[in-house]
Amino acid sequence: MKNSDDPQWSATRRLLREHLSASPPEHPDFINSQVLAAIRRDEGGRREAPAWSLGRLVWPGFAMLAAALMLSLVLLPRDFSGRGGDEFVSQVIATRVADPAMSVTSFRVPDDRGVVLWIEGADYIPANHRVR
Amino acid sequence: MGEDFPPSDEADLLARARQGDLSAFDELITLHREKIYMQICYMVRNSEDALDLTQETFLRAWRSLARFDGKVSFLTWARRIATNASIDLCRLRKRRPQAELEIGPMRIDAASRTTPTEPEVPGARLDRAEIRRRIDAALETLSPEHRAVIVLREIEELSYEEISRHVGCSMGTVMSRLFHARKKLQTQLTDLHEEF
Repeated sequence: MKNSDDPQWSATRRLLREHLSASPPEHPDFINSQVLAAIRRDEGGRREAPAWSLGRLVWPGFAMLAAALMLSLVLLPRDFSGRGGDEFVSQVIATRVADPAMSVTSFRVPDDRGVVLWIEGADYIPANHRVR
Repeated sequence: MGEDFPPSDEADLLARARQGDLSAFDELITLHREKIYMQICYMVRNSEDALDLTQETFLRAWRSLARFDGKVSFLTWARRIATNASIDLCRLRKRRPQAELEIGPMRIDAASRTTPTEPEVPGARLDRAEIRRRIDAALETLSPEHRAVIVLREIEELSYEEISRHVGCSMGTVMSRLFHARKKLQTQLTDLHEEF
């Protein structure tokens, strides 16, 4: 390894020192004033920052959440039927037949989650006949 | 160079600055601004950038003052910040090369050791400008880390130990970087010192 006493490197170093000169800053106080101004801006910003600080944002945050919850309860469509997932999907309110020879009875079968419409006195019901 | 042992007045200034005393920090800047500026100048070879980075160095120092443990002097610590800032800028330039890299000859301080003692003939002045251009070009070929150790060792004349503290690496790494940087510079500048 060439060390600093190497004559060739000494010559290069001399060259560097002679030609790599730099002058001190022309207006050194400018550095102070700029740095201090930046610090004051920082400090000022920090003092004004509480308007957006975490502490100040907590209560508006909670208020916004509560308002959003209320709005969702009021505005979002909900199922008011009170039907749960394990309840019937249809319900027979009333049954009626025009022919006195026939009778209709409805009863619920909880195990099968269905409603049975029991029709007596009909010879047949056509396949395309809609039971209303 | 005796930079690593804070004098008592500096310790006092530091203590006051830590408590938020801006006037104390102002005095610290005044104490060290020239050295920091010159070091950055040697690294970035542009007085405007050097001025910006000097301000940035002191601003970073202020913001990190609470983390400064006082094991080294304020100057050593600030030099480290300055070195890192300079390396960052050099890396940025390598990605985005810029045209102006030279400190104008008119900015050489009248009291500088490089100021010619005798009036220069026009030819000699051109030669000096050419040498500066060649040196700048040679320095540009070094990596920012290599340039930092060359500047700190050969221009600022810091010890290996001080450089290792400034750059934040081991003395072995400093010596290795120096070796490679010197070799590269020497290869590119040999013809210059053979001529002069």
